Amino acid sequence: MIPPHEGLQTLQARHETIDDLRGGHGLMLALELVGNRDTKAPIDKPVAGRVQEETYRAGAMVRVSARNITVTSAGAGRGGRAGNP
Amino acid sequence: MKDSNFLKEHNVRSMWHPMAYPADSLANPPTIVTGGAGVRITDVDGHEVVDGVSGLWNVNLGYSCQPIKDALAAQLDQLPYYSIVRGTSNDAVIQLAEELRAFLEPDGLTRAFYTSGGSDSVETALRLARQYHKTRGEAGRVKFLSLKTGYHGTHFGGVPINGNANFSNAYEPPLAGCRHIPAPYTPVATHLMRPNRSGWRCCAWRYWRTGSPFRARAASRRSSWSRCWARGGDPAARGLADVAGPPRDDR
Repeated sequence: MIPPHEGLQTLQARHETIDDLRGGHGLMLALELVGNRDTKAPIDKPVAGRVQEETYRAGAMVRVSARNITVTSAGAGRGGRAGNP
Repeated sequence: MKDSNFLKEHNVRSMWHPMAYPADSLANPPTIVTGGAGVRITDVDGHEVVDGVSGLWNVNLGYSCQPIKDALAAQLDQLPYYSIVRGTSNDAVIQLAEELRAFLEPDGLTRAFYTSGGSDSVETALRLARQYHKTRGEAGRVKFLSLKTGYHGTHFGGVPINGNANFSNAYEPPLAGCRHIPAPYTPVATHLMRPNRSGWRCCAWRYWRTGSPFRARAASRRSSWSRCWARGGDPAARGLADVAGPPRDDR
């Protein structure tokens, strides 16, 4: 299993839209989305919603607040079953 | 369980979602989750996903975690509830307080006050803070300082100390004595960066002196980032001392 922070770093390298990546310490991870990395122009709001929808379709619930996406590494990191978190 | 059509049809009809407009909830129907096991949740259409949000960051040990279910059931069998309001207590809360103390004592927290949620906790902490100073004979120390980007819940004390005005505008007038101070917020805070793009520290400092990044330029030339450092220490901490120090009557 890839550590969640590493996985998000891979996504960040692949997508211009992901400007800042927080995490690697503790339980929370966050992605800050931009329309343009140089000017830091914010991403269009519907895009963040679309990312949420597509992520859900692909198998993970993430939370969008404004133009940021937050994930807990407890959820992102392990594939446990009931009773075996 | 009612069928999925019933649930989708009725979701917003007889309830409000927190932090959402009812019309928006109707226009953008929420995902209706009907099951959870381990790190996975299942929605009303049978779609299963990993829950990267852990509920709302609170389901830290997974859904349907067997040891938790066992402990809950055992406690329900033994004693579902007893009040701890003056005059009575119960064995479970006493033991829990000792556990919390062992866990939090290194941070200086040695006593628990039980509440029913986060907003409730913030509310209680605000009251206790004022009571603490009154009891110690400093009744003038009544202000609350909070960070501009902070979130402190949705009750009447927490709302005005929230940093985001979306959480407070509709509920004003606010509690008296609430002050907001700048917070470090690095990346996409372009409105903070705009004055000279020199980073949040300078901007935050100007913000602190002037209350606005846009009125900030002149003030920042007069003052004193360097002077502040020369006087020793972190400007935010110094600012805190200015406001929170002696009792003042300008509130």
